[in-house]
Amino acid sequence: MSILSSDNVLAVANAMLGVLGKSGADILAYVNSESAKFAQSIETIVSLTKSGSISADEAKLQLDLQRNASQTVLTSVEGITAIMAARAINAGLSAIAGIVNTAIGFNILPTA
Amino acid sequence: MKGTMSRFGRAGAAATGCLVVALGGCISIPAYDATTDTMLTTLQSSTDTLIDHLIDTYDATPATGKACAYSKNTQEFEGLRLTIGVLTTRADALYNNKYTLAALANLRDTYGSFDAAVKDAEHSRPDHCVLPQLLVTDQRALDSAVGAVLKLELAKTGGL
Repeated sequence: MSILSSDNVLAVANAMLGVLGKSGADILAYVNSESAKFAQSIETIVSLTKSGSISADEAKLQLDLQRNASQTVLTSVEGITAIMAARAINAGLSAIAGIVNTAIGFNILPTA
Repeated sequence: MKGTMSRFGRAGAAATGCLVVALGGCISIPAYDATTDTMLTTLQSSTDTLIDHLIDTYDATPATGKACAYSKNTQEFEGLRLTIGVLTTRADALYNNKYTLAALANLRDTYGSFDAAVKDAEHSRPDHCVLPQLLVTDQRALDSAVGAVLKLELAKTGGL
């Protein structure tokens, strides 16, 4: 006997997508914007190196800074994505908490 | 037969246990820390103040040496290092905070690169300072890096 109907499964999916949908688009826009900034900075470093305004050693130090900053952004985005995924899973579980708790006979899932 | 049932029994019990753990706890989300938020905001503003100073004093040539040189700003650089150290210690003490810790390790490296670039310029460049055009790109990168860690902290509240 199935506890969850297809409507319940759909409710889980909708609850998860509700969390992921807008946040996912915001993350994408954010990463795009940050990538553009880094590309612009690297262009400046290359241009100053080619014109002889800075040495190869200075260019390397500057690129290190840009690389580390990009890494910081991406590590943070990884964390944000993990938090979003956790929220989506929790929203999905919350959508069927009542049915699951009734079927199992105790509150195994927290209700919203 | 008895042995086989017993193996299935153990496997079944283990599977049920995993299910209960997976469902029962839901997924734990790290807690937002207001102090981290405030410290990151202060770090961003101190960084901006320092870089603005380095840019503004690039053309000044006082008798005591250029104000944009590393040796004239060691206290400020030390202050930035100290703030990141305190943030890291705090993040390490908070439960379930591995992403913030990883981001702060990268942030420390980013500030280390900035420190190294300004220090190197004092010894290797005839003007003893990082060019203003590069300081602008440094400022943008540091702003992005601190802003990203701040975004991660705010994501814990459900915002982005």
